[in-house]
Amino acid sequence: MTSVADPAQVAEVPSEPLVDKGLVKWHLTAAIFFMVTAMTWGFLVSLQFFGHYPFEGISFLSYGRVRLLHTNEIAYGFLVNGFVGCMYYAIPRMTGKSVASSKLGWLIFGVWQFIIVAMSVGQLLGFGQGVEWGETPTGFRPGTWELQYIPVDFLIELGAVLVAIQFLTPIVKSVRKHQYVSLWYLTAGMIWLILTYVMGNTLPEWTLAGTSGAATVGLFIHDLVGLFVTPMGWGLMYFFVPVILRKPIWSHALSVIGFWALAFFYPLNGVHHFLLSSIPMSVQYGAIISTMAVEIVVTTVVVNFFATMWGRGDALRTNLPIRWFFTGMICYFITCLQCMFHTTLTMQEIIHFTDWVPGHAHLVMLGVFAFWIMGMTTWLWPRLTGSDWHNRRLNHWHYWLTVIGLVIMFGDLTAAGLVHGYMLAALSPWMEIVRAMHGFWVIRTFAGGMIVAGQLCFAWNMYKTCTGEVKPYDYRVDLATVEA
Amino acid sequence: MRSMTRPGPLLHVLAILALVVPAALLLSSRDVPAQEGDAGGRVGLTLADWPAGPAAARGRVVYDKYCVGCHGSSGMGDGTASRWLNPAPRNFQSGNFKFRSTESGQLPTEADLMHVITCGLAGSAMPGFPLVPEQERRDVARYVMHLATLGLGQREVRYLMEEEELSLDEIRAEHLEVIRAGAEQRVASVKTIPIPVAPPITAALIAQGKQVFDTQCAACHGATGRGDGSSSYTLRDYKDDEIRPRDFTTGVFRAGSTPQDLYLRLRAGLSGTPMPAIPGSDEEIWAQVYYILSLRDPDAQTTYVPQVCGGEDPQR
Repeated sequence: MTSVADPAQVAEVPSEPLVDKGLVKWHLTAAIFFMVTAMTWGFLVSLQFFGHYPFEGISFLSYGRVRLLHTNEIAYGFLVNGFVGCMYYAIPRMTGKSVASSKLGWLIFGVWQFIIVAMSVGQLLGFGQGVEWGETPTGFRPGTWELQYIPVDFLIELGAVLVAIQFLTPIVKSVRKHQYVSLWYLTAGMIWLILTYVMGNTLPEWTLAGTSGAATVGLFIHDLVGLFVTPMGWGLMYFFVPVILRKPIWSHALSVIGFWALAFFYPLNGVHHFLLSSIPMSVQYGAIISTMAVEIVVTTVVVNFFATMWGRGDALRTNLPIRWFFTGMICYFITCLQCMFHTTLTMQEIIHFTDWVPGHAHLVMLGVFAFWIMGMTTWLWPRLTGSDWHNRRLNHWHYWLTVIGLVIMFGDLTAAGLVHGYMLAALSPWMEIVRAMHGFWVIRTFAGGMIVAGQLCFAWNMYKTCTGEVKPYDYRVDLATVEA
Repeated sequence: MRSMTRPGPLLHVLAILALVVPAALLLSSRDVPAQEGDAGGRVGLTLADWPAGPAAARGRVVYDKYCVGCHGSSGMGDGTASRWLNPAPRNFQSGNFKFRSTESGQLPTEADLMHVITCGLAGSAMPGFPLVPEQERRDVARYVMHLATLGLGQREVRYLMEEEELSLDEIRAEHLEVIRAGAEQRVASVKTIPIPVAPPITAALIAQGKQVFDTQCAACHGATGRGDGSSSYTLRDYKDDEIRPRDFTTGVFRAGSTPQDLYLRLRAGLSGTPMPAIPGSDEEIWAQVYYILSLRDPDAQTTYVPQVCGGEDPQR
């Protein structure tokens, strides 16, 4: 078969100054590094559940501290670095303008990695604060202005502001009458990150006491998910899916409805983390209702993605990034459907304080957003290094190990949560529950091991692609698919 | 607390009805009456009357593994899954093949079938089978042709039974050889449509295509090519199912989206659908092809790159 145009004419190799590939590359490298670190610690600490943790008895590496490391490095080390890296590629290509400054970019990169390291060390030293998913040390003695440690909270706020300046510059410069939905999402995500972070890391610490503080913390947790991670993930998906499929999204109208519905329904969700607590019931009901309403938002994205895929089902077999996106989208649908049901008080009575919750959290953060970032990295890396993947087969190992590991982990933790919940409801003695959970926890560790192994395959492949022998990689091939 | 009472007789009756009624509905709906044009119906030749060559016999084994679920055991498009599929699976015995490189009304070539088997039909339930070994795909293509010739034979048989009032046994004994030879002749006599070299895409050619489109195509495909023309909701296919004209703005074409693919669709028409073969000079056809492509992408002149099936996506 012949193509209508000469591939040489079609090839639009991105001009160098538009995208600073170095920044993309290093942010993605940092993202994968912190992901592997965080997952390794998660794997190790899961051994403690059945008494095989190698660092038993060392206070720095005790469960209560390493757990923070696991969740926070994923949030700030992996997700933020991954999103920022992909934005360095996506935003200049969408706006046609470079980011504010490459120097600023390297400053942000340096500051951000310093923040992650300082955060991790601070948490291991015991300076973590009691804000779930935001245990980044304030650095101050609680409730006072006496400095004990590096004020990581404020550095993160500074970093978030710098990121916003960096990326809003090209977006503002290119504002037109119609802005593509990705830019809506990414712009909002960057601004919401700053606001959310300030809310969660100043109000409970200095002003709001008791349940008000707790309610604010609840809002923070889910606003970080809903007003930062989600819009970033969707914004980038709305860019990468059409680019990789070479096919526009199915419905622009639907994408914009999704955006405004997100902005409208998501902010109130957070209190659903503290259902059946002493927070006023009106607030709890509000959280439940808005959580269910988020389903509307989710549907727009899911429908738009699958409708965009229509007619390109072959890409699932031939195109690994699309397969990652597709798998992530299925996980996304499951997670959100699950969310709609387990946010009800009826179901909370059973699953609250059980392993159901980490099961759900892994499905959404690993199964959805990490899968999407992995897909984007799989697609971007050859373009950044100018060399084809060192070993494509390893990428498939990465995919299958991670996906199978996640499915096992999610199924296992969900089942464990139900067993645990019903045992709690039956007032079983604590030790009985621990005995009943033993098998589930062993399986969870096994699944975690598979996931870590998958990431190691990927990290090694990235390293070899970057440093090993250059395999010629032709951009033109991407644009004009030829018969192999 | 009141203890559970034993279920009464009414409950038994209801439970039995709850099981039996849906089962009966499910079974009864299987007996779809034979439709106009689906050759043969229930009375007529069977596969036993129609011996397959070695390739088609091998293909039957492959067919019974991958295809039977939708297309049915005798290729009538009546497999178990067919009820839930829209567009419905093809009835091979009907002799209607949409995606051909042969002239209007003829059977497809083996290469046409291979393309569909390998690449699938985008936007339908028909997947591509590129992972099935090529020899097996070829065998299946031969078997599909075999089913199509059986369908042709069925029509002859029905004619002889209805018009000449011969019995099936008489036909089997005396006329089968001739019928078979006639069907084989139909396969052998197909004329493929040569694809001329595509001219470069120009704005003038696209404008010319628009003119033809507005007068000839817009009634079904709509003025903007969204498949929403004035007659678009009235169309029926060979099974008398509703069928909608293609929405050109999606950029998804069932059997390939290269200009060459579209050239063939226009030249050959889509058998079994209201889409006719389009007359006209080569230039007019190319003009329409380019105009159709430009409906999906206004910049088609410079950036249009078709998806070509076969082989792996180099992006992965």
